[in-house]
Amino acid sequence: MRYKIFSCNVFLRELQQVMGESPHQLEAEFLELGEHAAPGRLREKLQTGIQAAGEAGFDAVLLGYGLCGRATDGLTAWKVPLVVPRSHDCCGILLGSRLRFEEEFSEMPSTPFSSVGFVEHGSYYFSDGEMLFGDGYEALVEQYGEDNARYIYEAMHPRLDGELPGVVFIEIPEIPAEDALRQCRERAEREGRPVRQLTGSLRLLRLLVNGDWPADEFLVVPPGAKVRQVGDWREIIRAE
Amino acid sequence: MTDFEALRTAVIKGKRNDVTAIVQAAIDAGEDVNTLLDQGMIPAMREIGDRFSRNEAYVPELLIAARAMQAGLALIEPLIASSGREPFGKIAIGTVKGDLHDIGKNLVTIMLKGAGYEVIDLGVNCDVTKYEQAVRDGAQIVACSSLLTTTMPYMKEVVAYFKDKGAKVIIGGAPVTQAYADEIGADGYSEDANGAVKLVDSLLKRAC
Repeated sequence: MRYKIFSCNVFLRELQQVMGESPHQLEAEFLELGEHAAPGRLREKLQTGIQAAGEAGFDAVLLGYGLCGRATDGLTAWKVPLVVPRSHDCCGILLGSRLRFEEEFSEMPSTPFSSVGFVEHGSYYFSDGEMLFGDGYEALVEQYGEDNARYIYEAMHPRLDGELPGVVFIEIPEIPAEDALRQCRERAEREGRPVRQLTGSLRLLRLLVNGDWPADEFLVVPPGAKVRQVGDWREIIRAE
Repeated sequence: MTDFEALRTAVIKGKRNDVTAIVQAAIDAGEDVNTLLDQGMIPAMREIGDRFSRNEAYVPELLIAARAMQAGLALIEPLIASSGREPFGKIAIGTVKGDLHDIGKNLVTIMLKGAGYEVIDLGVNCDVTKYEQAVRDGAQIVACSSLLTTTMPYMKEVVAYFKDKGAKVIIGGAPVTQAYADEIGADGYSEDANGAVKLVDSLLKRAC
């Protein structure tokens, strides 16, 4: 089979790893990390790509995205099936399953998390959906002045009971993470946040590129149907 | 006499000190403070909100505009309270359980206050118990906010809890849609802070 993949580059290393093991012919296109902050724009980009791939004769289009701030809500499969992991965002995909995500994050879904991809492609953690690209603070000072910049920065870094929440670093055994973990730790320490490591898994991405799409873990959208968000933790997305 | 254009510009540009100076001067001159809100600060917040909706302004601009308006409101609120004018209603607002994001909630809060409502701000990470206490304290409407698709589902629990308990539940936030509000039986949904005020007006049957 010939599959086209559109993925956030947060999964660049992970997909490079599993694509080499897939029995299928794969062509991947990576989009910038952080695009979910403007979900409408990301949706348009993905839809354009999905249609081009549908016209180009691929057998299916696979997404390296979850719901991602509703960026995939409303996408239409074009001529060929569209396959989307049932995940709210990259965290569940990095952990290897939706259930693992639920176990680790259901108590406080706002917990910031990080991975090699987050360190290598921009912001160090996914924390708030309002994130700035890169450090950003100096640019804020230049644009809005010191007083307003400090206020904006504080407002965009959510706290619980006055404390910045700790960061979970998701480490996938097959992907070297030493440098990224060190950088993540350094940044977290500067901000006074603790870092906790969690072992992730390539399982879900491997299933994706291998064409093994169990219905409880992947949504396979038939041509002409749309992805719809469900508003829960189990089904997450459905085809309409 | 207040230069309303200057006041609107100061709010839109997030010039907190300018807003404070203009509002204080108007108060010192014995002007009607409601006019400052109706002709200055509220239209300014509407404008920045509209610009945001059109992708012509970004979250930082919204934040500093709201902060500037809050500075003006802080001077006006005690005067309104001491004038004996009753608020138009009491609203409890909070970001739902598991969610720590409060930018949208804070914008709605400030617009509701500016429109003459008393607002109980419950902060972030609110479970049903927190909302319930606010309703016991007289809130007629519970306003729930969420930023994440993972925290939005908690709104269903809040709506279910308050069914037939008298208080109305309204919802909003980045992942929330009218379709979701309809599906869970919420009393209302708004996609932005301006709309939230209109929604509250209509639910409390106040002339818009």
